[in-house]
Amino acid sequence: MKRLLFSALIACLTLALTAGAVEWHWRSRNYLPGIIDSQDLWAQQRARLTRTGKRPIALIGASRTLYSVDLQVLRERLPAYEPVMLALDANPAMASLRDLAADQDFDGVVICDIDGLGLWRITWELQQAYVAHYHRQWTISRDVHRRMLNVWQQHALISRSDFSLLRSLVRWWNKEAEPFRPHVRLTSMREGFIDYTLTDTSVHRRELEAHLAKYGGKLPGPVPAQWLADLAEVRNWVQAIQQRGGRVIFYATPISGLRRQVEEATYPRPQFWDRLADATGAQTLHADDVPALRDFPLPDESHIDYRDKPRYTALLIDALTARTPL
Amino acid sequence: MQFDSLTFVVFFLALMALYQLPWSWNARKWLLLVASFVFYGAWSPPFLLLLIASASVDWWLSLCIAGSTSPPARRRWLIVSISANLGLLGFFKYGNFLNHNVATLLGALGIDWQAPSFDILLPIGISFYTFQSLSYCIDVYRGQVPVQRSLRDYVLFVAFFPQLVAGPIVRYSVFREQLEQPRRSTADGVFVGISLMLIGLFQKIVLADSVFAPVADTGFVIGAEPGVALAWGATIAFSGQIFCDFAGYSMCAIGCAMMLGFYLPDNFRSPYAAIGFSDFWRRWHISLSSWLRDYLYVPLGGSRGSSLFTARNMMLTMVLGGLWHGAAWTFVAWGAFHGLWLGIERAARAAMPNHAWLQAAPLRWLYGLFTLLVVMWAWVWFRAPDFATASKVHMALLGLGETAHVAVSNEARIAMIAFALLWLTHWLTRSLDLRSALSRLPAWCAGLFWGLLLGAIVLSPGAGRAFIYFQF
Repeated sequence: MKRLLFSALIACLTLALTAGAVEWHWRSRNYLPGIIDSQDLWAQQRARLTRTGKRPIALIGASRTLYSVDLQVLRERLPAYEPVMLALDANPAMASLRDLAADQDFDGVVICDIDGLGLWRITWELQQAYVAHYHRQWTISRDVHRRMLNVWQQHALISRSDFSLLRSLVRWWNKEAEPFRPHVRLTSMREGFIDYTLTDTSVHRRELEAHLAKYGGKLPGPVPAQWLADLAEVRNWVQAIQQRGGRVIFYATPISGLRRQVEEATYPRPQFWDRLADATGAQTLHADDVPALRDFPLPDESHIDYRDKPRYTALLIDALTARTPL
Repeated sequence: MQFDSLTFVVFFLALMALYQLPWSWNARKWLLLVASFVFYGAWSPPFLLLLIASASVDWWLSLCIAGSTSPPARRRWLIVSISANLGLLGFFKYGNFLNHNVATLLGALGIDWQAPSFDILLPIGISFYTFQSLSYCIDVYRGQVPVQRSLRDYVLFVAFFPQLVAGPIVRYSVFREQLEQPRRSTADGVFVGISLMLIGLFQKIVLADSVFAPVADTGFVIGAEPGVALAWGATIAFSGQIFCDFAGYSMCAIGCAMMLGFYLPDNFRSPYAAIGFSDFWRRWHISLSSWLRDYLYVPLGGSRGSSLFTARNMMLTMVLGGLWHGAAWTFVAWGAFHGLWLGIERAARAAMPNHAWLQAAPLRWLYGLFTLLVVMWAWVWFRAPDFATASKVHMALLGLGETAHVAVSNEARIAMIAFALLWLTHWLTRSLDLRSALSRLPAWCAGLFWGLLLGAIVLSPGAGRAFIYFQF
């Protein structure tokens, strides 16, 4: 037994020295630990949706919801509801909406951030991998693991794969720069925060310009008639949720600058958005129809700095409740 | 529950604490049974019921076999057991495969039949526990083991959590005495068990998931045209990944059982240092290859006949062994290819007199290298999602691909270096009894070893891939 304890002691010391040295090195270079998004983290929130004890508000969509909606403000302003963040960076939400429609236990409110592209059928499956993961892979065991991993990621910088042994070796070999310093962070409830003081906002603009240049200045888009015809399927999903007493609200978030020009050119509102409510039977809200939302400051033309989240969320709730009380 | 999850760490620490309490052996067996149910049920509670039902049916059938005095009655009960086990496996694992192939066959005959598609989730470990249970019923039928009259003990044998989901496939003859004689955690058992678990986790988390898997994935993309370098990088990386993933699991299972005072047989013995194909199968997934030998190859007639008859039995065994791994023709091709080489090797041995020069070290080493290359070539079928992808990788390995040479990434270089070190380790430890070697380590050396392994594991955060053999 003495031999076992002595070995364990040496092992703990060796581990503390090696892992501690790496942690100390990167912390001294001003990196901070944080939650890393994953299919498990998404599934954990998806599982919570029907077990909140309150009426759930499912926030689905992409980064414009993930990083803009303040969950605490939602809870305070709408105490009968529990918000659940299911939006995913860079992935439109239709697969999630379809999943919620098929879930007989879901009778809450869906706030779905969407634009013309997100409603185009070619993007409908982008969140399906997450939905499938929840239905086929999510287990009690994974839930417990993810809860402990959340704690570990919140406190240990070395939980980030950029600082792994292999990545460090490859970075050294390739003479690469130090790992990316994220200007976004996430909580274990998947609420995102963007700090625009840590990033150059013109980068996003240049990315969009480069993307546009690939298509000769005009992005390809769907034929309006086909786009509308495809929404017949979405109408069934909306009805399924409404028949259980739930609601679906499609929400076009504020955008500005070049991004706005591109959206207006590719998806002219009269041919697309303005026909959405009739085509799907869902409630709609366009940020352009609410001056305070339309003119909201957007550092990169489509997202909100974390300091503005509470005000933005309050405006969004006001706009939603002004149409139909929640 | 996976060995490489934080859930398992908490589960196992709690179990070890409870296991040390001064309870009777009966009470501790109940504890192990409940722990095994928690381990499996944490993945899927409904499939836990399937596991219990499957084990209970086999337990009852074994009593029927043992209780029957006439040979025809015994045989009837055995057939029921074999049908039940293979039926269960067939439904969950091969249902869609069978439907799809029947539809294709009928289509070729001009009959248009749409196969019904079932959305069947494969219960984890079903291939392992049905084979374990099946071997018990056959052993009872053969009179090789006494029947187990305690349902609790039998279900514990099948569901014992360290080996439940990915083996080793344990024989009842190995486990029976361990169920009857009270087991305890000992300091030596825990010492070696921790070492084995950490080696297993290092193999899985650091080598398989972190070093090998990302490189292997790049070469087996449907529709891609890999160049020579990418094909070799991916094939070598997958050869490393499949070993470290599976041997890592087995190592964890054996270590975990040792900490509880149980013995599980070795499942891998430096397989990449095998000299010849029969030697490879004595070193790779030993519990499956010995199962196939004893319950399939020998009953088929084994080598008790002409060379052709033996070759047929060998090929059938390897093809079915391939199919055991997955419901796809690529696995059948993998098994058949191994069957072919086993046959060639056997024929060559019979044709060549046993000259002393054949035992010369350089020749043995060269044959070992050739064996490794053929094994790696076969892994392409195992890993590829379809024959078209496998064919492209094979062509690229020979330099006949459509893509010109592309520079090797440093990630691929690291994977190749890691594989070379793994191969060297296999040669150096070819005849080593790992458990015995670990038990002789001085305390400071073991502590340092554990600490470095733990450090590497902690410093390799990643996607947390499932063990490959879970899908089988």
